[in-house]
Amino acid sequence: MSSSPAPPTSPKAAPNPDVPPGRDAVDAASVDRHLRAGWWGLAVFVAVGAALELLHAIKAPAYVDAGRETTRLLLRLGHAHGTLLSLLNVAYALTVRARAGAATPLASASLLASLVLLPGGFLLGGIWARGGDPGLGVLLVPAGAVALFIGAIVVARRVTRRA
Amino acid sequence: MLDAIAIDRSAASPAELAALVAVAVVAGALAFRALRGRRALLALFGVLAVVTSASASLLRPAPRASAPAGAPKPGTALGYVSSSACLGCHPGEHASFRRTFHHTMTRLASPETVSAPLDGRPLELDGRVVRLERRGAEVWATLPDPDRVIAGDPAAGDVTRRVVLTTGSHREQAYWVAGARSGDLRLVPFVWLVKDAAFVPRREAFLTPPGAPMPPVRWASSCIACHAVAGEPRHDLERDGFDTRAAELGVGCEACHGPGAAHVERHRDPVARYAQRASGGADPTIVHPGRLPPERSSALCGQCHAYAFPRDEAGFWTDGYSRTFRAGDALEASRTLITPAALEARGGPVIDAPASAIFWPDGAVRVGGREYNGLVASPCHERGGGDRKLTCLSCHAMHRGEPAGQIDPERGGDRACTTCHGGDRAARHSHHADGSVGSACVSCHMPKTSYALLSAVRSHRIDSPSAASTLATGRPNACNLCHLDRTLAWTARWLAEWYGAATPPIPAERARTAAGVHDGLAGDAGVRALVADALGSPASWAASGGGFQAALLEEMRRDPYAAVGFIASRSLRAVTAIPPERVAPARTPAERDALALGPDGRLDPARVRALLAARDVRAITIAE
Repeated sequence: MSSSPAPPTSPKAAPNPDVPPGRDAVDAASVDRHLRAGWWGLAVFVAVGAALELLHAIKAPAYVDAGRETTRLLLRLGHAHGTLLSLLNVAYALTVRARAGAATPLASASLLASLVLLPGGFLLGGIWARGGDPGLGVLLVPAGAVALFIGAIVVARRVTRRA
Repeated sequence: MLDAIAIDRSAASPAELAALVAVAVVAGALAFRALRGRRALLALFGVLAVVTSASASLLRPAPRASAPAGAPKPGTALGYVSSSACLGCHPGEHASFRRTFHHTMTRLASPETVSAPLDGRPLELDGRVVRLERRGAEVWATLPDPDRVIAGDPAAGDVTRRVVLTTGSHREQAYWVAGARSGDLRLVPFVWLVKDAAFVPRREAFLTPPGAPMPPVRWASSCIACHAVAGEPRHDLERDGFDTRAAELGVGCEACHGPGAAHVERHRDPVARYAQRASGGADPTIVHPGRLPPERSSALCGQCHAYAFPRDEAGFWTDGYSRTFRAGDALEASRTLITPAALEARGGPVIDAPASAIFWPDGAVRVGGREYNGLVASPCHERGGGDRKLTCLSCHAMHRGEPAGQIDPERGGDRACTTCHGGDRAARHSHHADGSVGSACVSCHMPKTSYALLSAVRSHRIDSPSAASTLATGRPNACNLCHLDRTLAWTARWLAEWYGAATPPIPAERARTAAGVHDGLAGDAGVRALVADALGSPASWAASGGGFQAALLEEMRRDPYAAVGFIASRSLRAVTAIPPERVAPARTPAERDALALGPDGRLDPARVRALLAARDVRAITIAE
């Protein structure tokens, strides 16, 4: 009777001495969270884009008439930022998966917050635009921009250090 | 539809604030989960939230203006949707239309739409003071009570009222305040001259006899037919008030394209849009002026650029032309074109102004802005047919060219004429150097013999220069509006030599005195205004040379008609700016005599007195 084959070795390499114990679980949770946020965000903001195209197709007065330029601009910005930030969250998740230890709570929080604040601010500012002025929702935009900046810096530093 | 009124000017709504908070909470929750309760990082996000909130305090909401009381209300005529509805599908046309002065003909008064300075500077008139000032997003005027002034009360008290509407933006801008009666609008007694950047009393901005009161003007009766789309005066005879309505203020898209509701509704369907494009045919839901028969396309412009009188006067006071004329219709059903013959006809329209102030004795209209009257009396319109019939669109384009003249770039220069009048004969027959002003078709066949807004305007009745006509009608001929230093006899001689025109007997004074000097001093007020304008034009300097304009204009500045004096002053400023090398060519004694110049280069007082004694002093009022 032949002996049973040796159990397959773990695909993971030997523990990284730079990564604190329990870090893998943190990274896995982060990957999961950002993949979900990114893909759901993409679904939402692509749907927003389709809705905006529909408004163009039917020449909806509230969207295409004179005097609605600010609304149109801000809704388009909301759609564009939402879509790209969704992709950015997916990219962050893949980065964390590729580079162990790249995840940090601050970067994760920043990128998730920016995914909501930036497009949300543009969309609300557009929906409640008054003449050439956006609605109060646009106040969320600078906060989202700062969060995005923080997230990008933190991830860049982490990735650089690991490289 | 009255965009500025329709825009939501309210402050932040509860729904807006709730949505803002909801988004912030969602973002906070996501961040919280990611941070897993780390206090330092939570504090960082807290700081971020506080900074964002604090930035809200930096937002100073711009002052919002409510619609002025007395502004026209939305119209009731069916099918109008306003120009704003056109933008979605026709952004290029909308943009090219918005840069025209048609678009800005009438606007709700605001600091953005009022061209005049709103610093409250005192504007003195007859010992009274008028002021225009800004109050937040509103414009207010202090003026003698306009209704009392019109009633002839010299002691009318001052009133301070919000300026409701502006009229004009190209040459002049006038301002309207609420009158005493409901819905009535009255003019501020000063207008702003846009190019001159100056206030002038309204009575001096038009050609009116000295001391004569300006005819009382009410926006809802005098202006609404042309300065708004589908205007409805809705005059209340008992109260003498108005419930004025308009589909759109200013000359909007639907003035020329007709009511757009059916068009907009149909073309919300993308399939219908592409099917329409593929068909290549005319869209039955909208008027395309370029596809109209020549008479109908000209009627589009003629609805405003004509002297006309409503056929149903009582109906006009209620509905204006909103129910009797739409783009694409003929004018005749809704109005009678005013001509000298129509005024003399039994039962014809009765207007305030004498016919002599509106028409030259040969029937040519002498008031600018009424070009349709000239067009339809032109041989090129009367005798042309099909594509060879002269229409407004033969030269003009609403969506192309410079806003000032709206000349179609493809029809600029002589091209509008040479499509029919081509060939060598046409090229040679001007007897002026190629490319010179004198060689241009319009210089001879459309001279500036109409008057409006302190300027000479080209006649739109196409004709040829004639010394005989000048003698018979007093209307300056094209030759002498450039060759101001030449006599009418000189013109008659060249017209006879070049074109075989019969030479009329020229009175001695006209054979001796240059036409510019004669008409500038002895013509009627309308003629003097035209000459004062011509004296300041580079075309006349090129043809006449210099050396006499300043002396003549100095005399003309003292004209009893303020408008003539104003134009003379403006031309004098232009003349004094001519480079010295172009001024004062050597004049022969005969030429100096024709120009009534003394040896010192000044006008001969005796000749001036004689010409002033011979002046045509009949009262001329051109309130345009």
